[in-house]
Amino acid sequence: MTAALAPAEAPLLSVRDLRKHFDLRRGLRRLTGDAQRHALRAVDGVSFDLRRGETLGVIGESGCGKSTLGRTILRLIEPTGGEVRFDGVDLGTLDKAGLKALRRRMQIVFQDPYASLNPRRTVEQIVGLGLSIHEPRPAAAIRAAVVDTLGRVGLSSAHLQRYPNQFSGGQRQRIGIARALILNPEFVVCDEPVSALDVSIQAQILALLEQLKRELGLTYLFISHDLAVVAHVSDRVAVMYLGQIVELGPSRSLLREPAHPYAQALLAAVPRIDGAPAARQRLAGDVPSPLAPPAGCRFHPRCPHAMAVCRQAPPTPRTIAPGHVVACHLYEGGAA
Amino acid sequence: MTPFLAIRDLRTTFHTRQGVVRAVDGVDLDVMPGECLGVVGESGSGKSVTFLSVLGLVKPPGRIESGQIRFDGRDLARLTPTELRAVRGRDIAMTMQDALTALNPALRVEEQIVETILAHDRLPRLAARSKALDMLRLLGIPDPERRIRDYPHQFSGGMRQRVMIAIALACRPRLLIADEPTTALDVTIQAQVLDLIAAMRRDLGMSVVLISHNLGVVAEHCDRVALMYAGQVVETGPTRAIIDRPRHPYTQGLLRSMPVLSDLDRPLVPIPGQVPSLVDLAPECRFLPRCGQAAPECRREIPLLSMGEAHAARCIRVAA
Amino acid sequence: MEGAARAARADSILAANLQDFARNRVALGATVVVALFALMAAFAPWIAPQDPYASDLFRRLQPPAWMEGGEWAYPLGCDALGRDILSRVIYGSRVSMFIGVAVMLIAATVGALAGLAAGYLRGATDVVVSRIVDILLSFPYLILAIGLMATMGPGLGNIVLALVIKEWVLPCRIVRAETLAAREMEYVEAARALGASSRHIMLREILPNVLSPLIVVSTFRMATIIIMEASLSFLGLGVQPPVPSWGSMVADGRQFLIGAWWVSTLPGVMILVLVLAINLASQGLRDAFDPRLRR
Repeated sequence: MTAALAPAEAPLLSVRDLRKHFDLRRGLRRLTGDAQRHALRAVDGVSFDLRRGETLGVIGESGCGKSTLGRTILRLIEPTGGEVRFDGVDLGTLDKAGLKALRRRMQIVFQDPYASLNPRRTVEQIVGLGLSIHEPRPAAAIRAAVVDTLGRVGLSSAHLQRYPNQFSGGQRQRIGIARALILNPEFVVCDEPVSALDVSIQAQILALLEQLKRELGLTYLFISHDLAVVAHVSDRVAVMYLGQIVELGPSRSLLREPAHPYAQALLAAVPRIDGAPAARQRLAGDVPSPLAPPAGCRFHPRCPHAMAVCRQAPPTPRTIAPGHVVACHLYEGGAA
Repeated sequence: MTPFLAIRDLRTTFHTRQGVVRAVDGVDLDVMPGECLGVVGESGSGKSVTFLSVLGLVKPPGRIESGQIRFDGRDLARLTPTELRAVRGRDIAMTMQDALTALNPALRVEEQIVETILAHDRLPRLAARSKALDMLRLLGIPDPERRIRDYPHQFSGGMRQRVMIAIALACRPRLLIADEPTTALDVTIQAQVLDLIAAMRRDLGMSVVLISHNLGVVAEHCDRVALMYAGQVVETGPTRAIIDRPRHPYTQGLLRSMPVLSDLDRPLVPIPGQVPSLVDLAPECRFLPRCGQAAPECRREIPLLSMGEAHAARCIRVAA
Repeated sequence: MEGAARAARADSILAANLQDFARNRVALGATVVVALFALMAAFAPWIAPQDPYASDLFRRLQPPAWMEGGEWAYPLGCDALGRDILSRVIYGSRVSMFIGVAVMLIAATVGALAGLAAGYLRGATDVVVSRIVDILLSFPYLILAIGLMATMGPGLGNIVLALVIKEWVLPCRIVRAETLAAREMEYVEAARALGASSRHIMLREILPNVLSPLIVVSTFRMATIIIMEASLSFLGLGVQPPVPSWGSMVADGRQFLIGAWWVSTLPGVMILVLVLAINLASQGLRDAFDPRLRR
């Protein structure tokens, strides 16, 4: 059939081998220093597809590169290598104007409800900024659109002339969401949107994001360090460690039976409210520096199952179940 | 059993430009010998200020208005600053949430631990140093002879938190107050630090107060829990009883709004509204504006009402 | 203390800062003094009892009114040319205030724009701006100004130019440092994510946030600018006679210091009072604007 020739669903976002290495050399050292040794590999070869209307959770500990990943996809940070396609368009080929035009379709919600709102600007100015950039029109028309968007996130026109310091953390996060949504984007990077909020407020914001996704048909890349939160909102989950995705799969099956030893350890470390903790394996040691990631599999120094091969060769990602990919030597023999 | 630390009707206020902030408003808490008490609350609930008050560490414009803090037969609220300083460190130690700002950036870790030991124990310097090394080793800091010469910024977040715990434990306090010891840490490191505190409690036979915003963290490590909301204890009791049979609507709401890994199909139910301003509080239930079960009788001061098994809640429904 | 923060009903941070400032009595008093000087400068022709240029050789070095030989028509006495000192002091405030305000405003504007560009755009812009700043900082201020005045010749416009050339450096450094911090804030990233231009980000997002330190440092520098003008005029490189300037008036009276102390002293006192008032007012501004000093 013809339908089979064209993929039923082209991905909205397609990321291939994305890399971002920060050059830590300063000043004249840039000319003399060893580029390899001073490159912080924040994102190091990440690939995935994101279908329209889907939520992909990205989980990992601090320094794993998950926030850099989100910003590199949006080109808030220039990638070192790799490709990002949005709705079929390679972002790397776009000029300044093309990128600006695409910005209205891809937005971001930030973690820190304090740093992400300019303390010297009113709610009307903050939320209306996108419109004044992309669709300049009379102030009254912008105000009407701002009021409309504020209504969507549970705020009202009474808040228009207030400054951010007059709001609580949860309300500020609603303002940040309104700012991102006023241009009707299709894709939103949520970078730890609830991490800075109190538990009772977290659920409010998560419910709001879910509701907006349903109403507006949004696609989310949901970045968080909190497994339980990611599990609740995501269709699929990617686990990152030292700049790479070590496991990616449907959120239910991945969280029920994590395959990668790091994902297992991460899951085991989450404090449980239900009953006494099972005898569990604790990870020893700290995350190694992304300046000098271990050779072979990057997890091997902390891995309870490390084998000789893990110290030498990096594992290649394997599909262990439909849509479930793991990069670990434990699965190379078995699944092949 | 008599409590080791007994806080009675503690009231601490902050006099600000906006008015009097009643950060801690009539808190009663007991810590038994050798137990681990969890104190859970959101920002502004007064959980940290309560224990800063215990140690006399509330800074102006904060002030302890009234209350009793009985520790080992003495009322800490009546001690002079010098007497309190002797209690801090030797008998009670507190670790802060942010280890980077709580440690002195200009001093080597060695000096900070050794000074703490010397301030409370008359020991030769060398003996204090070897004691400090023992402490670091006990806390699982690799290569302590070398690391003790480092400055705080040279440690990772998890290691820094351990250094602070090492300083707190250096004088073998009988009570450790750990204020959000893991909030700034990643889950895998968080688990390590919490296990460590639990091991220290067993080995040194001390009591621990674990202050956290995360009910999960507390549930795993504490025998008893006190939940605080807007400057008051709203529910207290054995951890399991509170999680399985929460009685205060805030506790119930908190449990319903928490995402839990083992039950992903359960929808999250947020608590509507926000924490009230602690200025100009009306004499009524503090949770009233957000409560789904509010009744006219809630418009008065509600005491903690016991329901047996040391389980009590500040809600009119307990009596019914 | 989230509750307390929300209880604050001040419309903006700036309004809250100004409220704080108004509570500081010393600073408020100093501001009133500065304002009086400004009014004096603005309305000099209406206030001055005599023509500041009219000389009367019969009144040469006439003492102030309360001393023997003085008269109330010339309350502060007369100078060596028999000109009324009070009127000249009043007119002299015009020069001081004009130079102080003009140099401060131009330097703040130039410095802020250069600092914003250097701090936000980084790269070559930053290298060029920072090197120019470093070079200018290595010149002693007064020597540089003397050299420039000697080259360009006297005149009000040239004084402004000679002082601005070095004076913009401090606002520039402050604004650059604040901009470096602000550009890493998530609200700047949010504006970039929405496609905002660098111009918008610098002028609308960052500038309002660096305005407080800019205002504080600029008012503080105004005192120095006024002293610099007085010094140049004292040395004869500033405002040219017969236009009265406090600096040149002090210079004129030097040789009569023993017999007619009032000729030099009174303009000197004016410099002292104005500079002190500006410093106290700007200290009050700093206390109100700098959150690090807040209780």
